[in-house]
Order: sequence, then structure tokens, then C-alpha cells
Amino acid sequence: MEYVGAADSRRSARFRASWESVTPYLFVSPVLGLMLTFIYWPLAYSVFLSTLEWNFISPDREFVGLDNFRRLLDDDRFGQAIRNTGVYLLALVPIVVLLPLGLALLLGPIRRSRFQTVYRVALFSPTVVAFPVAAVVWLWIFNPVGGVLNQLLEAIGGSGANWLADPKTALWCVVGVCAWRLVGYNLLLYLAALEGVPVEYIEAAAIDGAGSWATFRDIRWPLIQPTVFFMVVTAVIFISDTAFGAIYVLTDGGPFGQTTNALYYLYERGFRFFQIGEASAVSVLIFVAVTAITWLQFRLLERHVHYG
Amino acid sequence: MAYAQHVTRRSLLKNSLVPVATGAAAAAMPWTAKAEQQGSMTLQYWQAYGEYPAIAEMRTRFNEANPSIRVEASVYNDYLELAQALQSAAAANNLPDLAGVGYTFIRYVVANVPHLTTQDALAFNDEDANYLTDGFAPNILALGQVDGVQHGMPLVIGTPYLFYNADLFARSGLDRGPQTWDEVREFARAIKDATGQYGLGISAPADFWTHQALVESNGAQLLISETGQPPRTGIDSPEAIEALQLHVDMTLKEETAVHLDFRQGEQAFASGQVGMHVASGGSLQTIQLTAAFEIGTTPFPTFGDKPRRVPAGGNNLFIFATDEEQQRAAWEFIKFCTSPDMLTLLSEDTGYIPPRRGLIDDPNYLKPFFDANPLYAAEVLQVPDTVPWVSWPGKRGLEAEQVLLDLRDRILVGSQDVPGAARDAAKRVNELIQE
Repeated sequence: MEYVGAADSRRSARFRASWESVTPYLFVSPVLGLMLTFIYWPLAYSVFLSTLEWNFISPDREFVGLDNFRRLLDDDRFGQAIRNTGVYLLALVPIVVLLPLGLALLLGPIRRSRFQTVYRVALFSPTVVAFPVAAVVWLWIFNPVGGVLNQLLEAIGGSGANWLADPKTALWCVVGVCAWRLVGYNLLLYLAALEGVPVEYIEAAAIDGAGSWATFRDIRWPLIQPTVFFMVVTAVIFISDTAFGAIYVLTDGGPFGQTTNALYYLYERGFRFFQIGEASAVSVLIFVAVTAITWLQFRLLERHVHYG
Repeated sequence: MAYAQHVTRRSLLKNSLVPVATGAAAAAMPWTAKAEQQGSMTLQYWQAYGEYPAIAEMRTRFNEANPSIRVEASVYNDYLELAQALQSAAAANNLPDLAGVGYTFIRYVVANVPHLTTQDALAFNDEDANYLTDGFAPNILALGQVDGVQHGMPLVIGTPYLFYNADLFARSGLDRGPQTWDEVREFARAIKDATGQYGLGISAPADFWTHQALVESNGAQLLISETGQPPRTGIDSPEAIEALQLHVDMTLKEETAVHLDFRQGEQAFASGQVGMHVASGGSLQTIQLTAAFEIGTTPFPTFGDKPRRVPAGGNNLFIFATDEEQQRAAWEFIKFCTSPDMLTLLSEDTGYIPPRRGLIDDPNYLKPFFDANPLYAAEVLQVPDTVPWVSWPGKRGLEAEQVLLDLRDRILVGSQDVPGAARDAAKRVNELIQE
């Protein structure tokens, strides 16, 4: 015969079990809600918008299927933007990944000196200075009439240029400004990563007669690889964003699209010409490209990363 | 898991009380604030290009004179940023009650953003029936019209004119500003020969405004609208090509002119290294702050005897409020802002030309100001020559401006010849505005 209390115990146990399985989801639901609202819903809506010819406010809204994507393929300016994006990545990824590493190694011996705050502030300040403020100075540096760069070149016997108006030089000016802005942040990350290398390993290598290069190659480099990998992945994702800021303040995408990248092209389509369908099509293509590149990076590079 | 055993329905309810109570209290606060403001109406007004003291003063005086209405302003960096904000606000059904829309955006706003036209606002009061025709010249009212309908009320007007470095001029044997483009060319050559400095810079902002003045003053028409015909551009007309070729020859062949963007152009002229600079009165104020030389001004040069045509920069006041009481209040604010006293205040602070006729020559209003500030005389002289800043029609009209900017940049760096570039630009612009 079954006790009456036994049924109550089983119900209570079932409630506790189902409550235990639901509770974790309740805890993550606020964050999930935020992600759905601000990441996944806009992503899905962008895909929908990319099939429309619409300016977001007019009652005239036309479904055009893949026409926006076809229009992009026919647009020379979009082709130029994609090529420029490739140039920015190929030029800037090595600069912002390797140059800060070199600087961090050079600064290593004086990292504990009383001047460390000075050099860290000096090297990190480009990252925190607002772009519009820095733009006024950069525009003056690049000004062909009395600008600092032309004056320096002329002083050493060279000749100046109309840096931002000349299609041969404008893009490289944007590359230079982006490198100036990004190096400082990555330098700090490298300094922290190198600081994390156990000093006993370095001392042991010194006792065994290893020189600077061998110490770097066999001890420091393997141990900072996670940081390097992180920088490579984030550089590919965020360089376009930094370049957008530089393009916006220095060249407005000109001369005639020679400095425009995919992100700036998206901005023009969506926020200057109010062609929301085309802008959304660009955003879908950027999303697919960045996802593919990031996946490839994990697939091809991560196997070489030593996680200690 | 042990922690889950302590989570019961009772504890969950108890632990939720605090955030729910806090949220309820927060939600109640706006209602409290609303109760305090009962009886007063707030108008949201959006404006571009910073908070001039005169505009803040206009709002303060209006609020004092109309205790039941409170005008609050949001400020945007430029007309593009304001247009972008209007776009977002329209999508969210949260438009301001009124805004100063840049002249070049008038067609886009008229076609896409619901608003009360100025023409319809006149019907609020019988005495306003002749408000526009009594106080404003037809060419000024045209700045707020699309297809003959008065949609917006012009508030400020700025046209491009020529500033010159009087010190460089003196060193080059020149004692006055140029009146024609032939003289500009000749003076620029004289400055280059005598001082080694560039003779001319034409402001190159992210729009075609100054070059519209250049081509239209030579008789071209940037936008041709004929009844029964699709709109088209005249950028490939012989007159436009001739005007653009002049600028290109001075820049690339004679090297007496330099092609710089808007901000670099200001920097270069203010540093005393360019003899002449074509830009707006707003640039003049900026340059005066840093220039260490005497500045002279002269109206936008003409091509021989052809009439000068200078596009107006500035904005129209548009009413976006949907509630009739808000619309009436907005119209009262617009009339207040365009009254002789307020326009005088605004012009004295900004140097911009008032849209209302008669104020400039009236000793009770702006005559003393413009007499005391001769640098603005050049702009005053060309008020009768003011034409609308082209606002491109069609769903893709906004893109047409970019085509012309690319044309300007291509020809001024020598990437393409002027006739070919103008033909390509005309073809593309016509495709866009006829779509």
C-alpha cells in the first residue's frame, strides 16, 4: 500500500527537478533578450531590408528580391570600396600586429623605470583622442599649403604633394592615420602579455646561454601567441571601423571614392542617400565576409597557437 | 543542484518585489513631471550648425513673451546630420515640432516627411494671409518652394563670395578685389609671380554649392525642369564646361589655384598663403579669428556681363507637429523668428543675410550693422542674384550630388578631361533623377 505522503514527495521531487532545469535559462534570459533585441533581430531584419527598395519612411516600399545585390555588383564605386577594404586589411593587419610587438620588446628593459607612465601615456593617447579633434591636426599636417609634412619634405630637399586630394596618396594617408590610432592599444596588450611570461623561464634560458633572439623565439613568442592570435582576429574585424572614422574626417570617401571602404560605402548608401535596401545588402555581404574570414582564421591559424 | 532547492515560488516573488517597486516608482515620475507642466506646451525645435547666441536669445524671448509655450532646441553639427536625425525620427514616428531643414534637402523632406506647409499655416490667422508676399522677395520665397508650393519658411541666407588677402594683394601691386573671372585669373597670376603663393582657392565642401555658383554664373543651369519633360542636368552644357575648365586650367596648367577640401582651404587662406578664397560668410567668421592680415571681400565674380547667380545656403523652417495646437504654436514661433527684430538680432550675430526685404537698408534695423561691417557688404550686394541651392528630385536625387563631387575631384586632379567627365556625370545624374 502506498503512503499518501509518498505521492507528495514524488510531486515535490518532480517540481524541484524541473525547476533546476529551468533556473539556468531564467538567469541567462535577460542577456539573451538583449542579444536577441540588439544583435539577432537587427541581423534578421537587415536581411529582410536588403530585399526592398525603400528609404525607411516613405509609404512606397517595393520588394525587389536580389536586385539590390545585383545593383551593387554593377556599381563601380562598390567594387572600388571592396578593393580599398582589401588594401586597408593587407596594409594594416601586419602593421598593427607586428609594430606594437617590436615596440613592446624595445620598451621591455625600461618597463619598470620611472618613465614608464610617460611613454605609456604618449603611446596610448592616440587611441583615446577623439577623431574629430585629431582630424583638425591631421588636416593641417597633410595640407599642401604650409602643412607640416610638405614643409619637412621640402626642408630635406624633397617635394610635397596634395596628399588628401591626390588619388595616389590619399588612401595611404588614411592607412597612416589608422596605424597611428591603433598601435598604442595593441602595444599595451603586448606589454601585458610579455609581463605574463614567467621570469624564471627567461633566467633559465640566460643560464643556458640563450641570446635575445633565441629567448624571444623559443620562450616569449610561444607564450604570447594567444595574444597575437586575438590581435589578428580582432584587427580584421575592427580595422574597417577605424578606417571609417579616418575616412569620415579626412576625405569623405574621396577623391572620387579612392579612399572609400565597404563600411563607408554602407554609410553613404544608408545615411547620405537614404537607400536602406542597398545599405542593408552591403551589411549582409560584410557580415558574410567577416564571418568567413574569422572562421578561416580559426581553422587555419588556431592550430598553431600555443595555449600553454 | 543545492542552490536550486532554495529557490521557491515564495522566494522568487519576494525577491522580485524590490525591482518591480523601483520600476513602478520610476514609471510614475514622468506623470508627476507632466502634472507640474500642465497648462504649458513644449515645442521641440531642431537646428543645425551650433547654438548661436542669437538663436538661444530668440528662444528665450519667445518663451518669455508666450508663457504657455516653451521652445526647446536640439542642435546638430550640420544639415546632413539634421536630415539623418529627421529620417530616424520619421521612422520612429517621433518627429520634432519644427526644424531648420537645409535648402538642399527640401525636395527629399517634402516628398518623404509629413509636414504642414507654410502655405497652409497662413490659414491659421486671417491677418497672416499676405505675410509672405508683404515681407519677402519672390526669389527668397522660392528657397522654400517645391513646384510653386511654399513648404518651408526661409530663415537664414548665405551665399558664396570672394575674400582676399589685402596684404598679398598690396605686395602684388593690386589695390582692389576682382570683379570678373578674367580678373581673378589675372590677379592670381600676379600674386604667384610676385609672392610665390597660390592666388586662388575655391572652397570644396561635401556638396557642389560653390561650383553651382561657378557654372550657373556662366549661364549654365545645373537642374533643368521643363513642363512635360523629365528633369535633367545642364552640367555638360558648353557654359558649365567652360566655367569648370577655367578652374581646372588655373589649378593644373597655370598652378595659380589650389584644390583643397573645405577645412584645409580655410586653414590655407587664414595662414596667409593663398591670395583669394571663395566661400561662405560662415567661413569668413572662422578665418577672421586667426588671420593675421587685412581681409577684403568682393561679390562672387561674374563672367563678363553675364548675370551673377549664387545659390543660397541656409535653412527653411518646417512644421512637423501633427496636433493643431502645436502647429499653431510652431507657426507663431516661425513668425517670431522671421520678425524684423529677431532677424536683425540673428544677422548681427551670424553675419548671414536676413530673408525679409528692407531690413538691410533700414536705419532702425540692419543698416548700421552692415555699414559698420564692410566685409559683409559683398554678400549684401548679391542678394538680388540669389537662386535656390539645387535640390535634386527623384528617389535617388540625393545621390546625384555625389556624382558632381566626384566630377569636381576628378577634373581638379587631372584624372579626366573636363568635357568627358562632365558628359559622364550628366549621364549618371540624369539616370538618378529620372528614375
